[in-house]
Amino acid sequence: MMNKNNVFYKLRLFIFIAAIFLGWLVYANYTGWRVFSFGSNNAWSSRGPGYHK
Amino acid sequence: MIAGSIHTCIVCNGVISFRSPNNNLVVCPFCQTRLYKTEYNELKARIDISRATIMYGIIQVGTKGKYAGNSFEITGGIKYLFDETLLNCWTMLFANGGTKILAELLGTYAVLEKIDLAPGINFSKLKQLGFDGKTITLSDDKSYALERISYCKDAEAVGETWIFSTDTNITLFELATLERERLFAFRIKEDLGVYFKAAYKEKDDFNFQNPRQPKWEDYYKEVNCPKCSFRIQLKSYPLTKSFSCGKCGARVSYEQGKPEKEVSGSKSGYIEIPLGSKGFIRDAEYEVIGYAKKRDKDGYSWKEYTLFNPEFGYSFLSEYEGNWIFLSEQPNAPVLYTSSQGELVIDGESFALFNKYDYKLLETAGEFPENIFDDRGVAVNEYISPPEIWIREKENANGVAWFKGVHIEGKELENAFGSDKVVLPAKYGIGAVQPVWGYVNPSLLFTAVLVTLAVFLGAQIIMNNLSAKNVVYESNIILPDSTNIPPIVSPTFELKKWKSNLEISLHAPVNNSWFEANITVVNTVTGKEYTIEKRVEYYTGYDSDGYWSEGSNKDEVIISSIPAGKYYLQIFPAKQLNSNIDYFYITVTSDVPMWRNFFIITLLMLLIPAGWWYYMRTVEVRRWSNSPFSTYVNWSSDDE
Repeated sequence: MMNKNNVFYKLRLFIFIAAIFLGWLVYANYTGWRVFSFGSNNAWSSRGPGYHK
Repeated sequence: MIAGSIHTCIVCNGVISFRSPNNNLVVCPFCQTRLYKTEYNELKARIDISRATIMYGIIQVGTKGKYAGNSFEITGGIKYLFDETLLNCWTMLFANGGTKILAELLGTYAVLEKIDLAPGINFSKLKQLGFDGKTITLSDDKSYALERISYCKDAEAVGETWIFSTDTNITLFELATLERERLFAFRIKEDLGVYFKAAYKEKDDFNFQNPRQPKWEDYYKEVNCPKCSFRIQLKSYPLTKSFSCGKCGARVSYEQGKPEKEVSGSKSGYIEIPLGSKGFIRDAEYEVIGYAKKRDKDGYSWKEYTLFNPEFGYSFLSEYEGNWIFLSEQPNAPVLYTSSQGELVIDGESFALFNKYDYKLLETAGEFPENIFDDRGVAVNEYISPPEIWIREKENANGVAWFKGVHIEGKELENAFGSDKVVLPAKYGIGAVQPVWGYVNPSLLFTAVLVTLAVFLGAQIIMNNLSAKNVVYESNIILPDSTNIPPIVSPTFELKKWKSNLEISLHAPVNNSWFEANITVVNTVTGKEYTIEKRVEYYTGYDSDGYWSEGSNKDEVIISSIPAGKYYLQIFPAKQLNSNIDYFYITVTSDVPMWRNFFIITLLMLLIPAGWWYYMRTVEVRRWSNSPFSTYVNWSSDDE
């Protein structure tokens, strides 16, 4: 059980949140995901109306 | 092993043995005479010392333990009865024959080590220091502040022990350095003193074996109200120093061990936790034995409940507007050289000055460990670091007492004392040390944010370096003069990574013209398409401000998260009518770094601590609105 005076304990919530954001950053960079990018990247499936032979 | 000595009792001729040559006082086990061994090894009766029938606390003759790795046994002790309290000084006889004094009082323990101070202390001068932080430098080259003065009126002994005085009429001066090194200076007479270094310890530091089991009844005593003769049962005698008569309301304080001094008082009003209530608070059972209502000069009033436990002694509950603090006196307390100090740092934790006041007593009931009715000149400082508080009470006669407290929820107290027996007042506002969910020190949060930014930046740089930056297609494409440009299809290229981005960079020799391309990335197997449209344009000219330019002849666009596979490009170029753009250059690169992600995600992450800080600040502004020492600027008040 971590001591409640331990700084990591006090910051556990922040560390958790920061870890999630860090994970998001790493995932986005790794997969080439341009976050919050709308409209410049239209993709559609060949099953839909824009099928290209 | 150092041998002891054998003697004969001068009263009953019983055989008496001293287990340690360091000891000089023994209670004859046969006739109970207190026998003092002189420097000439002769025994003399000490009629000024009584036989202790009970020493209170958990230590008794025969209690064993371990201190600093060495086994010891308690051979005896002396109970000094001071004006405000009592102090048990036990003799610890170690296996190697050495002895030490263990000063003990109801859950507090200090090992005393005798030291020589030459020259000794000028006690008259020492007394003149007062308790406001003036210091005296002793022969050990350390500066000490005077913390407390206690006057011993009587002493009782048990077993075999060491006494440093031939007289029990001694005075204890407690001194301390800023580093909390403590010195007990016992004045025997005039400027003759005996000096001890006092090291406060926890109970667990001694691993006591064969302890005594304290009983509630040990402290029961019936006394008569000196005003109306009402029979009153005290619950913490002989530690009780004042009480209120439950019948006539008379306020009685002990003088010289007797309930003699009495002033008129009125009976208290409704008490939310009635006297006699028992309950477990933080693993110990307490009985409510006293109640007081106090008011400071600003008109704020609060209530204090005195609690008692036979092993741990007194604790207190303080209530203001339904916010509760659980307190107990701490001997190993901070040391202040000035009572106006704005901050305390204890074991690395900062406590801020929250309040400073004196008070008037409004109403009382039950009994108290001090003469509560003498409220003249009691100066109180409160230092907080929620959920903890340190309270310094200084009174002119005896000095400084420190209390350490912690916020406690009313619900916990209702559960402790029984929700069917107590009805606690409704809670208002934020308590002085009420913890805030998720609270962290702002400077700690700021440091954490800086560290996090560094980690994010490091992660981004590493990811950038790991990016393949693989050019999958590049071409310089000649454009016809006509604006009717046929589509261009690129050779097939392969993206091998599970998912990656594609950066498409366009360069065209635009000059006061534009060029654009509609580009579709097509998966050769699934037919899935990704379409972007990009325009490059560049304009220049002159106006009243001189030369201007706008745009660029190159630009790039990123297509995000394209799955692995084989792709080709279909490019539909277009250019401004009558422009002389005769080519454009296209580069397609897969798996390129994106700083944009870093800035967006980091900014979003920063919103969390920013909101967190704002929330904490809002709470702290409300908390500190009750303090004259608030450093917060209330923005909402400023707006009004």
